[in-house]
Parts: sequence; C-alpha cells; structure tokens
Amino acid sequence: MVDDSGWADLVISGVSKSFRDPKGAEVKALAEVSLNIPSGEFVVLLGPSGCGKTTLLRSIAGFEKIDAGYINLGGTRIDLLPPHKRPVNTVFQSYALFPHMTVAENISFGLENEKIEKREIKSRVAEVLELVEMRALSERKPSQMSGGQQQRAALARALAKKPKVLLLDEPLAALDLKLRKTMQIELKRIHRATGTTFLFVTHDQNEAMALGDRIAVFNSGQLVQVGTPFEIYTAPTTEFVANFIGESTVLTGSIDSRTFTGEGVKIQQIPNQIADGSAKKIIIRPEAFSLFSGKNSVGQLRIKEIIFAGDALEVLLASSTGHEVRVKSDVSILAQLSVGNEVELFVDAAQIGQIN
Amino acid sequence: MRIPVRSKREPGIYGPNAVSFPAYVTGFFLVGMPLVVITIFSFLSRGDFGSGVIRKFTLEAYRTVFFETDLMGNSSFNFTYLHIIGRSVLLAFTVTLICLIVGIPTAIWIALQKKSTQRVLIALVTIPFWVNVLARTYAWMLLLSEGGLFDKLGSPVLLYTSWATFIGLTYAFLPFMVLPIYASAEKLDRSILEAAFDLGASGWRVLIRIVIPMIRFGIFAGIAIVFIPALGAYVQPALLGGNKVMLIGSLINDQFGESRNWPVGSALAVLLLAMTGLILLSTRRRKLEFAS
Repeated sequence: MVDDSGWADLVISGVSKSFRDPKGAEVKALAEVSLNIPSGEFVVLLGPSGCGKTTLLRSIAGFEKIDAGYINLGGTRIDLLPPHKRPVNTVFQSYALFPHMTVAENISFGLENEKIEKREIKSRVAEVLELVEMRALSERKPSQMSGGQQQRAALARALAKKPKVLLLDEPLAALDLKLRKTMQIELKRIHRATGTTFLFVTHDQNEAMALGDRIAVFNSGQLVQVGTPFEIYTAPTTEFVANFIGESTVLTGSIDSRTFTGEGVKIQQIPNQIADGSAKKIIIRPEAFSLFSGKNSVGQLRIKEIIFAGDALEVLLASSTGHEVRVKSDVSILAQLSVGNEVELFVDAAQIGQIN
Repeated sequence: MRIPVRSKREPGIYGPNAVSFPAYVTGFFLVGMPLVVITIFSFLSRGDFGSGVIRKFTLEAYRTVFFETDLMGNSSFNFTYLHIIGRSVLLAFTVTLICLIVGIPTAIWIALQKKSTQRVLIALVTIPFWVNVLARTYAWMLLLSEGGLFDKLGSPVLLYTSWATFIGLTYAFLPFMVLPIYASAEKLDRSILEAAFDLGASGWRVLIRIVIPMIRFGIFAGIAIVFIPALGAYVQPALLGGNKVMLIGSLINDQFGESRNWPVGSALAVLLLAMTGLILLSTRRRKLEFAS
C-alpha cells in the first residue's frame, strides 16, 4: 500500500489516534491516516481546527502516542521513541523560546544535548543565525524581541539540530498579514537552502498554496486529498476540499448528452471525462465564469451581491431555484452591475470538474 | 499568543495614598515600633533588680554577647553565643535544604497535574494550616515519645533530641516551600517543556536547565519564608527538642525570662534581625543578577 523505500522518507502508515472528550466520549482525532513524504519535500497539512492535522504533527514529534499504525523515518520506526530521541524538530505556534536564555543560548541548548564540541556549537549557532538573518540579535532575550524576530529565533533553534524533518505547527498564525507574507517567502528560501523536509500545519488555505510542494487536506480526522496546490485547486475530489480551498460553486443535477441540468441552471458542452448520469456533482471555480460575454451561455441570472475586492469583482448570482453561483470578474464591468438586476452568465466548460 | 514576560518593578505607582494608609499604620505600630524599642533596649543597661532596663547608654549587652571577662578582669572572645547562633543557622539551613529537596519535586509534580487535581492537592498541602502550630507540635510529641507510633515501629525514641526539632521544623515549614514554588511552576508554559524535550534534552536536563531557572523566583521566595522563621524558631526546639540544645530562639527567650537580662536578649534579637536582613539582601542581589 505504502512504498517504504527511499532513504530519508517519512512514511506515515495507517495512523489512528483517539481522545476522550471531557464528557468521556471517544473522539477520533486521526483515522487510519497514511501519507508518504519524500525527503526534502515541503508538505502542508491543511484543514479546519480540530481536523487532526496538529495531532498528526505532534505524533511525529512524539508528544502524542498513536493507537494504531506506524511512523517510519529513513527506514526506522520512530513512533515508539521518546521525543528527545527522534531526529525531528518542531517550531511551535507559541515559539516556546526559553525566556531565561538569549537567542544564542536557546540555539546552543539543543546542540549541547548532543555530544558536540564547543567550537562546533559556536559555528553552528552562527551559521543558523546567518540563515535566518538574526546575527545582530543573538544576545537578545526573547522578551526583548518582536513576534517576527522570536519566530526566526525559534526556526533557527530547530534548524540548528539539522533535523531530518522540520515540523512547523502554525508558526505564522500570530503574525500580522504583512509579516506573514514576508515569512512565507523566507520559509521557502530557507527550505531551499537547507533541503530539509518541511511539514507545515496550517488552517489557512492561501498559506498552504503559497508554501506547499504538496498539500494534504484533513477533515475530521481523515486525510481527504493529497496533491500539488494546482491539483488540489483545479481537481478537488470532494465537496469539502472544493469549498475549503478557494471558492467554488457546486451544482447537483443530471448530465445527459454533454448537458448538465440542475439547481435551476443548464450548462452545455460538459467535458467528456465527466460521465452521463443522475445525481452528479460538478464544481466550477469563480474564475471559470464570465459575465456579459463568452462562448457558452448559462442563461440570465439575478445578481444577489457585488463585492469589490480591489483587483477583482466577486459577484454572487442566484439561479431560478435560488442556488448561489460565485463569479469572479474583471473590475471594468462594475458600472454595468446592480443588485437585483439580471445578467447573462457564461462559463468556460473546460474548467468544470467533478466531485464525488 | 503567550510571550513570557518578566515581572518588572514599577516604582512610583505604589506610593502612599489613602487606600494604603491602614497598611502603613499596622506596619508602623506592629513592625516598626517593636523593632525600634528592641534596638534601643539593646543599648541600655540592665535594670536594678534584673528585669527591665534603665535609661543609661552602654554597649555592655553587645560586649556580653561577644566577650567574657574572667575574675582577674581580663577580656577574651566568647564563643558560647556565637556557637548557639552558628548552630541555629546550621539547623535552619538544613531544614531549608530538605524542604527544597522535597518541595521542588512536589510543587512541580502538582503543577503538572490536571487543573482539578491541582486544586485538591493544593488544598491538602494547606490542611495543616487549619490546626494551630502548638497542637500540631504536641501531636509530633506523641508520635516521637516513648511508646509513641515511631517507637512502636522500631525507631529510637527521638523526642527531646535535635532530631525531633529538625523533624518538627521541616514538617512545619514544608508547605511554605511548596506553595510559592507551585505558584511559579503552575505558570510554566507546557510547550516550553515540550520544546526542551524536542531539542533532545533528557528529563533531568529539562529540570536543571529549563524548569528550575524558570521557577527560580518561587524558589527564592520559598527559601526566604522557610529559612528566616526556622532560624528564630522557638516552639519546636522547646517542645520537641526539650530545650536540651540551646538555639537562638530559646536563648532570647531565656534572656527575657530566667536570666533577666533584657539588654542582652535585645542585642541577640538585633543580631538575628541583622543576619536575616543580610540573607534577604543577598537573595535579592541574586535575583537581579538572574534577571539581567
């Protein structure tokens, strides 16, 4: 089922984990999750809070004991080892820097736990501080630094250990938007520079798409889809993924001789790979639609809401049965739209996908 | 997000005002005045019939503490009182040490339990405070006496030995060590401990390098509130130790009582105060060193 070859690959196989909630009921945090991560890949675990992504990360780090399955790293089983014996390191959401130590001391703490020569420790500390551009702040205490600087210090501390896998638990969640964007670019640079496997947990789909070589989408303890950001966005396999990553319109209806009918809309020229049948679900991204002009008319729909987003327009339409259709459009047509009016909707049928 | 913030002394905002007036009155009459009276007494002469003092300035009391004069009138350094002070310091130090060794793991262990369990355990730690210290000391007398529980279990009879004093003091002061350490350990961010393990530290190293430095203020507070009262303790040496081994607390008591030498009693009290003051100052200096 899962390929165990590959020297430093992280292999997660059939991992399950249950918790008891305060009332004593069993909650499945992870349900037979299997995932194979080749060495050097940047994988994002994405999902809403409580979906199991953080539990999986903590299971790899060793802070949670898994109930079933196994976790292998480089051909060695690691899920039975205590956290301090695993060749992985974590960047915590709260950074978890040691408040009584300077940045340099924080970093060398991890190295002193291995039997490394003092001179070697010093040069490794200088090296990682250079990598995260924190050289000037090496003697600062955590309380004397901004959130972004603490973030870099926490990253440096984990990277100094040269882990086989770096685990990042929503490390950017506490930063403001602008700083978060900067740190995303920084993380990509650092990932390329170190060649380490990065496993990054987030609930932010934009962050996931910006960072990941691949994204693993979780929902209520299940791994629902794994793929490149492009695959996940263009070909979501479930309605959950379609709605969680980007926006989309999901229509349920029947397909007969390349024509979809349902939810008060009729769409022609449905792609051949979507078979005929009833109770079919198709998904259409907002940018696959256009207003006023196009090749494939869907018909006249009423405008429910117009949202000006600066670089684009988001228009919410309602079909004759009231089903919502999301359209992304050029801002140039703003003057021609008003809420309550009808407008002709067109679709690029080639971009229509199918979900189960 | 939680950033551990170091507590900073903010001068100025706690200055005198109407609300703090009762505290100042209490402090002045119940702490300041007695200290001033005792200090003045230590520089006065012994009363004509032994008890009390007469208003005649002299350094005689301090001379008595440090020197003795033989029949020929030669003065030589007197180690008797210094021995008693030294013995008291040693006892207080040992009691503090044992309280630390037992109290630190206990407090950390309590802080690592579930919140509801923590509340129960802390209540258990404070239960001895519900019973008067004298009653508790009498209970220990029963336990340690001949025919008491410890005797029946085969232990030698410890009552009226220094061991009994030591046991009684450690028992009485242990909660005072556990509570402040628990108060700081309870604030420890769990992810910081996880981070330490994650970085490859063994449990022992996490304790020494991370936990203890982070709860140091609780430890300092515990040391201060155990060592200082243990140094001047009177009840346990009297009841459990049977006053066989003289300690500074009993010594001061004797000077005001049987020996009827109030100035010397006052001088000893002032010396005890000076010593505890020095110890407090030294822990404060260490605090500042750690904080910088």
